[in-house]
Amino acid sequence: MGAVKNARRLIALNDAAERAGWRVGMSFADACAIVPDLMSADEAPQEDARLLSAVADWCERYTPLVGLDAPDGLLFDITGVAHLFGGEAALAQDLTQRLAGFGFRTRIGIADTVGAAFAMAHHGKERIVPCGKTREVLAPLPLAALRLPLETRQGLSRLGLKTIADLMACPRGPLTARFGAHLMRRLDQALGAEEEPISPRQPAPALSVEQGFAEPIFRDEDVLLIIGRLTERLCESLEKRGEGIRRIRASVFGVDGRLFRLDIGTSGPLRDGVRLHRLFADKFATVSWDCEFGFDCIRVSVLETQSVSPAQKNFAAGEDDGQTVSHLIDRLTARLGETRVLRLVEQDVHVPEHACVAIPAADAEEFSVPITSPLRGGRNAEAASAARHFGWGDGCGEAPPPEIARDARSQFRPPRKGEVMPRTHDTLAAMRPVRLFERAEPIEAIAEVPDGPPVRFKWRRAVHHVARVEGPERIALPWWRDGKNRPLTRDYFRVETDAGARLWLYRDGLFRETLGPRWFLHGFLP
Amino acid sequence: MIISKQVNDHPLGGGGGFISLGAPDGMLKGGLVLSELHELTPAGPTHYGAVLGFALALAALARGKQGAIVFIQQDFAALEAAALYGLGGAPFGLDPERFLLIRAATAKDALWAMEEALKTRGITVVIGELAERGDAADLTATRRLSLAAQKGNSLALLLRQYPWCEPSAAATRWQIAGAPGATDEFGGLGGTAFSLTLTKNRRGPCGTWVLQWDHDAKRFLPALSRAVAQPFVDRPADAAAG
Repeated sequence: MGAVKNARRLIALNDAAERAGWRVGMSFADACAIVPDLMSADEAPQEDARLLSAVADWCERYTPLVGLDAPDGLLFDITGVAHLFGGEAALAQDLTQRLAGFGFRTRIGIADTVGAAFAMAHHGKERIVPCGKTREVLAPLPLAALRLPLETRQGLSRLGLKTIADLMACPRGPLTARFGAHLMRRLDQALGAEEEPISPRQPAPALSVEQGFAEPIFRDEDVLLIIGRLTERLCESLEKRGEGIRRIRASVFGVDGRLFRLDIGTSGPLRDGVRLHRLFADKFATVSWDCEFGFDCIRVSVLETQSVSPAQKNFAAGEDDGQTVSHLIDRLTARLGETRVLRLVEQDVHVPEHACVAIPAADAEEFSVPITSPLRGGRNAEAASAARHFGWGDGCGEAPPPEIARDARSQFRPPRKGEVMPRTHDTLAAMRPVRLFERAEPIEAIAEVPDGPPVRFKWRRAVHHVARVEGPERIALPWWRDGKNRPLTRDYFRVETDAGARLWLYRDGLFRETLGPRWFLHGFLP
Repeated sequence: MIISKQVNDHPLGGGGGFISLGAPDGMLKGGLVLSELHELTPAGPTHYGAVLGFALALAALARGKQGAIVFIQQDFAALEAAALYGLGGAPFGLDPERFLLIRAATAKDALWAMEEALKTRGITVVIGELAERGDAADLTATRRLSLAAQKGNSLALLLRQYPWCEPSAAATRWQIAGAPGATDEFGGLGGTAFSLTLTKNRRGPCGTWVLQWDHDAKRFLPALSRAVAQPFVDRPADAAAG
């Protein structure tokens, strides 16, 4: 029962209520007048939707393409799937039986088109419409089977059109003019003249292998073992196609109707069954499933593949028994999550916190970063490289031979063609901190107004005296953002305290920009 | 005599080699052993940068130009002591690309990740930072890390934020601070310098040193030792009598 237009009306009834004479849409007061003792509950549309999603999840055991037909229906695309269950009739029977076991009463319609299947399920007598006989089977059904809105149906019945056969006999032009295009579109969709795809809840996998069990299995080790075996079979098929796995999903169906999913992503195309099994084991260790009744079907589907060139086995190379860096990244990503395994990428930006950003390691392979940042390589950075492949073993630029570094005159000669100039510092200390706070910590600092370096500062309730300082390094934040909230210019100072610790402080804002600039500790220098 | 013989014969490391630090090499009997676990602690909250700087210096000396450096940090440690900044490896010759950063929610995750990374080929240095005292890295856990470092032939550095007094299986334990007083001729900051205190050493006695790092040559410069007591030396019995 729910509120429809400010009156409490009945939304859904059970069999006994229908026998007592109530109808959907009847007001609550009228219903009470017919039968005084009335058991009713308020409607809960979110709970109903959640229940429908849960049932749709479980029904993925039949086909991966399951769509929702709110409020109480499901659409399946069983093209090419029916033979796995012994035919369409057997599939329908199996579905009805299992859902009856969960306590649902179902009506099933199987046809060539979505519209015809809907019509058979809601208003038809048989379940299955034979191929090509759609017109004959749909003809005697009422117009409500075509998913038409109420006003259209009322208008059509005033004209004397009650069944689909009547509608098919009429000329299309005047009806379209009178009722709109959707009427004919629904008819065309039902008869197959117009395409109507199902929008599935999950994407269709590229490859899928599943195994069902006569007796449900309970133990975690068994689940992992079966997943490992199914993965091996998938790897064999992929090897014939010359592809590797990028994303793979294991769906485990419980006997009580629940579905559990394990998703694994890899940083490169992978075809090694042992490695994938380890990734699944790592991921499995992080989930906790409690299924007292066991699992009766396990399916492993490949969601994304990538072509991979076959590697020649090298007989001269030794045993490959250590895991490599890419496999380590995959395992850590599977266990800890994608946002916790990161690689660093430089950007040509002045703001220090954005000059070097961390991106998930699994996506880092597609990144190639041109080195144009002024902190790296000096003046001839562009000559040194155009785009660099993101690798581990390239190493850094060569340290300049000591003669060039110490020869002061050579620093000022023009670079020869193809030569990479050594980095020129204006300080002996490190220019950038080795640690950087994500949010700079505010400190109280005493400094000479307006531009002086800090003399004393208080951080985390301890006072530190500054022995030596270098700076300021003025970094202006992008002024073109946000006219009102202009970010303030920062003056960075490299500070050494009495104890010898080196810190990277900045004053947020110049005295001409703001009245009371604040001081922050941004990082620690080595 | 017998005691010193036992110290010298103590089996350590997988034979991976040493990092030569200069002055402390005498106490370390050759240098910092490469395929072993070493612990680093800052001398105070302002010295977090010095600790990581020393760790990166060791990483730069460990294998030179190849291999990945894994930095594992517990979330709370990142809040207290700030996360690694990729451009800060420049004085040590380390590109941001060589780092693999891992953020662990708990100390247990961090230790697991450290162990897995140590066993991986292609990874030369693993630096792990635990929050607070790092209570989870007790004798058993550090023994596992030490074995993993020997097996994978990698250098393992465990950073704690406060000193840890319980026994652990680390080969050496250091307390690091920034060394004051290094200046250039204009009165500005001098080169990077570390004040090292060796608080636990399986191979010999402890001591204090100040080491300076050369940004251009990417190595430690020889520096003066600040050892207060005479280092322990094996003296034959008749030399004492005579």
